[in-house]
Amino acid sequence: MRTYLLPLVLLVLVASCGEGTEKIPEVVIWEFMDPKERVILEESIEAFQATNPGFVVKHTNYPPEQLRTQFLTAAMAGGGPDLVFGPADNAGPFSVAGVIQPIEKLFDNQYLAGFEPLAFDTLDGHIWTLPSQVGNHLCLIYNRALVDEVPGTLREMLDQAETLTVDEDGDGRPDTYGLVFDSKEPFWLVPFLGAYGGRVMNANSEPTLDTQAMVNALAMMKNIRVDRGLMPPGTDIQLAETLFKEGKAAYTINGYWSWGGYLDAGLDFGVTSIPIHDETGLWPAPFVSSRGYSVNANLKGAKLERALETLRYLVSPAVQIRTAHELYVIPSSIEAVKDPAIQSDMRIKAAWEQLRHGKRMPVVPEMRAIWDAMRPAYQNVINGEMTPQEAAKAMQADAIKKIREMKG
Amino acid sequence: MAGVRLSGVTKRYGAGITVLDNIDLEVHDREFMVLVGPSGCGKSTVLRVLSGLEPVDAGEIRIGDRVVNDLAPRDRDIAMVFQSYALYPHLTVFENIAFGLRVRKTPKQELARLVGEAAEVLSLSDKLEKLPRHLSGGERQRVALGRAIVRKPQVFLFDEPLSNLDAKLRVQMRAEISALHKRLQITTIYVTHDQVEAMTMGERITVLNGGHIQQTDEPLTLYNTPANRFVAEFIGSPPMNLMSLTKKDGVFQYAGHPLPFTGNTGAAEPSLDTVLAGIRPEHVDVAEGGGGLPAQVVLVEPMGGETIVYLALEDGTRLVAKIDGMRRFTLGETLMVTFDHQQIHWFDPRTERRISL
Amino acid sequence: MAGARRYRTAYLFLAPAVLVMLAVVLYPFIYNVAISFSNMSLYHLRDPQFIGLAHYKTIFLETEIWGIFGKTILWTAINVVSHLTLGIGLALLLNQEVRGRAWFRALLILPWAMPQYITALTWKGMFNYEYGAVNLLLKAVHLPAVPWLSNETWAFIAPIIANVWLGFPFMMVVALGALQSIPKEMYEAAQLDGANWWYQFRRITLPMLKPVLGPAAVLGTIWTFNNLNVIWLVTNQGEPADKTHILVTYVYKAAFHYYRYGYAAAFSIVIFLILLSFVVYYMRIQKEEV
Repeated sequence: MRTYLLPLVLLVLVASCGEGTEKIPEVVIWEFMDPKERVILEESIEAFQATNPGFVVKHTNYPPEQLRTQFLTAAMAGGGPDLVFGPADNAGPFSVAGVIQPIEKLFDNQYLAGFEPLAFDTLDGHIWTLPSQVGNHLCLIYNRALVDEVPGTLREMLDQAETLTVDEDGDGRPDTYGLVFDSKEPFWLVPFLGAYGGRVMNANSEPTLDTQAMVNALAMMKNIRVDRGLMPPGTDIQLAETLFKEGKAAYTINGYWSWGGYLDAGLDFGVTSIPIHDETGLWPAPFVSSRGYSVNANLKGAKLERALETLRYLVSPAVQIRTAHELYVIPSSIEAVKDPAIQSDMRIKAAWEQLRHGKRMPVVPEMRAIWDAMRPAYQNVINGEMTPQEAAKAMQADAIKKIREMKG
Repeated sequence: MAGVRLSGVTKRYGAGITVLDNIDLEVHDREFMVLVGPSGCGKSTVLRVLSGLEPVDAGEIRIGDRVVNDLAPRDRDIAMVFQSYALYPHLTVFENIAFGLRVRKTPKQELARLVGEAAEVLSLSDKLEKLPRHLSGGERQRVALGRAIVRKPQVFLFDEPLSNLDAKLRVQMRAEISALHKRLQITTIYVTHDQVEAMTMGERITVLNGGHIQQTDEPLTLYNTPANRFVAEFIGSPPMNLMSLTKKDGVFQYAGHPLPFTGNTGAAEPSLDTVLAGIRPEHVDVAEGGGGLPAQVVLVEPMGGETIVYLALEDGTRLVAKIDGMRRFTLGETLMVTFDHQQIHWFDPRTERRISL
Repeated sequence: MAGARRYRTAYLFLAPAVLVMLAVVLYPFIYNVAISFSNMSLYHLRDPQFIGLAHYKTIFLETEIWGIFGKTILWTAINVVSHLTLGIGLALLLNQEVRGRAWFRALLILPWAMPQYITALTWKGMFNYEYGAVNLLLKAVHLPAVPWLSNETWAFIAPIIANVWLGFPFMMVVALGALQSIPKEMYEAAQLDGANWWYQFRRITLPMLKPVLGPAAVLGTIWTFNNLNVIWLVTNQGEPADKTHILVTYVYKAAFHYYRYGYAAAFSIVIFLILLSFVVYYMRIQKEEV
């Protein structure tokens, strides 16, 4: 017994000595990225470590919900990763909870001037996220085999889509649909709300859902889904993507994240802006938001410096151009946008055009309550269980209640 | 009431194994028949085919004057007591006994009366509300009996019912079951591997081995005139001594010694050169001198009333003798062994059947 | 005192486990109770104030919550009853001498072996209106397609189906183990007494399964009552229109979507008390029976 004890004690001692002396401080990143994006991140980290000896960068992937709650919990307790990557609206709860630090205090104006201004979201007068990409917005996508030319106005486009909705085998269900998109998520309602001049909330983050613009937008969605029957009942994101991939839909409305799938399916597709509304003369305005890195509020001193150095590399034009090229995201760096490789990609260019018509998605935490209030009422309109007027009223009431509950 | 008759009953498991081979067995009405044999001899299978839990492959089974081969167990009007008692742990003693009556939708008052009677007979009246797990082994055994007798079946089957009890309880329950049979007068077939149980309880005993019936007889007949070598060795404790004798000069001799029989040496069976001589331990006599076969004492088991002495003959053959308990022996001493000729059982070494000399 | 000395070594061995339990169970529990009396939320993360029983009052006064409570009871009852029935039924079949029994058993345990998360998402896909396997099957037999995830009633039935699928193997395994421990003599004795299959099942099998299936059913009830994953994933966080919530998904949403920490803490205390009273009630019944 005793003979085993001594080596064991020595082993523990040696092990703990090694721990104390040789440790390189790591830069830790928590991210919500899809697999392709993660590959680029990993390779970028390797490249960075190769040229910057002494740096060890680690990253962990989280699903969006977990990323948010885990980071909140960890950072509140004084820990957490150095950098957190995700959609800009994470900045809402993070900044309110005080777990991230303002970007403009970490980088000088000259450096920040190298970024597309549209890519910055501000909350309480601060920038909370250093964007690595901008957009994340919806565009109109069309199947070139079915659509020769995209008409100039929304009405004309919908009329064309109606003629493209055909039931060839006569079983009462169309075999090709004119326009398919997620008819469950209010994110797809927002562009049409914009076409009537509506917004989901005002500058004070108060909901503005019970408006004529909302009633009109809801009526238009009902017209598209039910009256014109441009898409099957209950179309959600998966169904819309499947139909479009299979060449069974002329148009879809979707973000850059879907392009890779369409290309993999061998589809010849074009990207353009959703056409201008005939009567209001307004462009449909999809929500625009950026994705990027926020910095843990607990970081300071040398550790902060190391994290910022890493961050500078990860949002550098070189990394952005590669990401844009492979994933069709729009770079946030002005230098990257000007790159010929980006300028020559017609789809990215088209998305850039659509971006100009878009509206910035609020990053305040209240947005969550707005979505949850819009969703059921919107679905009820599509199902025919509510009139647009009733739905607009219901959304507004529900949003106010939810925000009140959140604020406790 | 009814007798039971098995004619030509054969039971096989799978392709190769024949458990019962062309069995003929008659149990008289009201008789207490014991089936005894070593494990695997097929005695429990007799009960299982009789009760209908398993079908036969050939032969006919009659209970009373009905052929029951194709009747379901419940229509054969028999009750069985299992080695494990098969009591329902979630039911009280009352409900365990009443189980069969409830199945048959016996009216409530009738049911209470019958269960009451059975409990009375088995001295269980004050245990009726208890659960089996709160009973002693003997009491559980009695509940199992109660479940069988309450239905007043035509035939009782017992499958080694006492083997889970300690020795003392076993003796007591033996007597109780015998008394119960005398009182109820129901045809009973009782399976055991314990030849003492068989001898003390059976009105007749059937010895089974290897799926064959060896002998059916009353206990003492079985003991005194075993039909073959197997029965001779199986019945009796300690078992019968067997010696191989060779004819020489017209008389059978053991290892060159003319046998030291007391009394008449008898005439030899003319056609045989060798015979098996069986001598029960109580018929082996020993003396400290005089004539006989010399044998060395190798083990002594004093039982009080009698002493079991294990002896080794010169060629190493073992003999067991049951001697009056008053005599003392020392290990290693040499004694002279003699036998009473009248008490010797003769067997043909080839057929192993009993022969007379 | 003598006991303490006698068992000192035992206590020493238990001490680390007890400390860990205190740290990971008792401390968070007490913390949870504490914040349930506060207005802690995203907006009051660092400066929560004591607000007494205000959250509890809200919970009991909110009419919507009584509907969710009713739905939770319904969800739990339908699931546990289905798990037990299917589990016992399949165990009875598997307990027969059938060819390929081991193979069937392995196959039937499979839904249990899959991660709940993946099974739930797979079912969600299968309930897709146009392209889901369930509606394709219905179509194949000329039945109308069912709006599984968009209609309030169907969207509640869909996760129940998924959870029945997920839950029956556990009960089956437990029931099979219990069945195999029932001596076959009990059935033989009953057969001789004239009991048919159904009578044997009712009077022997079920009562003999009870001591094992009883605790399993209680455990199943607690798991089902608190089953967040299946409803959350199959109905996509309570869709349509937050109409498919059970208590625990509602709490989850309050805590992690709306950051209403104090409110959610109070709500989980209420759920805890509901389950606690259920278990106490069960244990009392159990004691009376013995």
